[in-house]
Amino acid sequence: MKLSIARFLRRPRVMSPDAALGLDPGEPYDASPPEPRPGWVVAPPDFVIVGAQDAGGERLATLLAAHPSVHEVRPELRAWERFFETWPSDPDIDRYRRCFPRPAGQQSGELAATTMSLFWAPRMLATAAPQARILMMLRDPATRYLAGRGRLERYRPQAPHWHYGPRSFTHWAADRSFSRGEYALQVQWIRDAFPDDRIMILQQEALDADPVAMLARIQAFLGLDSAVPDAALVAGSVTLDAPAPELEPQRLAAIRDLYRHDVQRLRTLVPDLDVSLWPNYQDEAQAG
Amino acid sequence: MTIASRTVDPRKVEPAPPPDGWVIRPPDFVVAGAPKCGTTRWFRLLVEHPDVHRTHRPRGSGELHFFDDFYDHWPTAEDIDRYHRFFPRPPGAIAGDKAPTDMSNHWVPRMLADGAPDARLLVLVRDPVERFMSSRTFSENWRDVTVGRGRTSATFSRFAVTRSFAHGQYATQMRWLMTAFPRDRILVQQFERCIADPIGQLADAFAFLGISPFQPSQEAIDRRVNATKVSRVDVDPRHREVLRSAFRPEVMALRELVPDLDLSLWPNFADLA
Repeated sequence: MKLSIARFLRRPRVMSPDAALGLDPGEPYDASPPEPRPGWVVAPPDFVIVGAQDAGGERLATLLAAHPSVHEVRPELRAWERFFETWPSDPDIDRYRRCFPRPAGQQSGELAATTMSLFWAPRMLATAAPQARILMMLRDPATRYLAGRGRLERYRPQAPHWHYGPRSFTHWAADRSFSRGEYALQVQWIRDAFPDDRIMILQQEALDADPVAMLARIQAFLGLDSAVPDAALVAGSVTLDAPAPELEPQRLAAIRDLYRHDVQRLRTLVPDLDVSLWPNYQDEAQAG
Repeated sequence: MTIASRTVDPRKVEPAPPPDGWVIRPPDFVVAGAPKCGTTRWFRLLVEHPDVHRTHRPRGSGELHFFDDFYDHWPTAEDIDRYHRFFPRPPGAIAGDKAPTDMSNHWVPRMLADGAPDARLLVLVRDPVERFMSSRTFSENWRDVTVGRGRTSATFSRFAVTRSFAHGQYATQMRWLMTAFPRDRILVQQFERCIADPIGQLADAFAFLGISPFQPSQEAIDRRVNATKVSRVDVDPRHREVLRSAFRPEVMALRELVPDLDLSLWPNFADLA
């Protein structure tokens, strides 16, 4: 059970293109609640990594799953993706809660990297897991945009004829990749659903620079004993970005500029955000 | 009918040669959004003014959406030149473009500034929850053809929901426009005011465009456009509350950008007035 993240990353991609892209809410999500063993506790997740996508969530989940008091971190249940127009029923919420059985005294978590970007999802998560602690991983948004574009490229050959015709895969990928990096509004959606003291906002760059130090902070936030993960796991947990399509210099400059105000707005919401870690916005840190 | 067939594809259409003596320039103004905020009606009323040339469009709503398709390549000088050739006008007249998705496609504002560097932008906004419902309803026109192309009906609904939400993020989009245009060249008007006081709001628009006062005929003012032909879509009351809550930070940010925004006209945000 510890290796559920690794299993997720290795599993063959057999979903339909729309489902693989997280688009098809009609697809059954991988949330068949496992049978709890005798004496286990069935409860909502203790913590959820709610995004952002392509901002180090997988690495964080892998490292947290290695903690001796963490039973597992379930990846990408996509529990709320389908509820964009209807509210989840009590059985839906109950099914979600039953997805996290764990031995008594252990914690269970979820990696749900799209949650913060779906305007309807944070409140549903709060309804189902009102005591959960929320981990938000952010990353230089212009860099994250390129990582998102690169990740989506692997679906291009599978993409069906899209709404506007064959070229619209690019249109859609550009749109989606951009909107996922507009953090300020997403932070407000999460704060609207969870109290501030149960939200921890993190930066991928800080995790990459000193994973042990960041893990220590997160473990304290989650109420876990301090535990240093195995060095080989720390090194092996690095996730590499897929290569992004080549973009013109004007477009890259425009993307940097377009995110600038969102970064400024984010700094007012998250005063301890270290913008000096974001290569495209270091001037904001210098400006004070 | 698909979205692609509804509008003119600027990559395929060559502007007609203008009559002798006409002037080719970038558009003097652009109605840049937002969709489902009365932009079609407003543009038609603006071109009633005798100094505004009614630009011929080959078909449909007259929306070029010229820059919408530049999501994968930056417009060249030739592209920009061709954009200009869509706006011939007699000497002394001004011409405008109407492209309600210009403000919601993040790549467009910078391109629009390249194509129309001196343009004045008109932006219509509307209670974002009501706009969401209107947009969501409007999207139903394309459900059958989209599902016919292989998407599931549920996937189409989700696409419609996320797109309908994104088009109501006015503050974010205003900031995008402001990366390319100075704030004083953007006039924000409220759909609700344009319905309640079209003559007064048109006067503001004409003054903003630097042209003389003018009052269109009552018939033109009363003409209905884009009447809904499909059943109105509604959402679960809890989802409506989620929409209110999700849009709230955007509405508050918009008020900072548009101090005279009258939130008492927006039923879902009247408590902020």
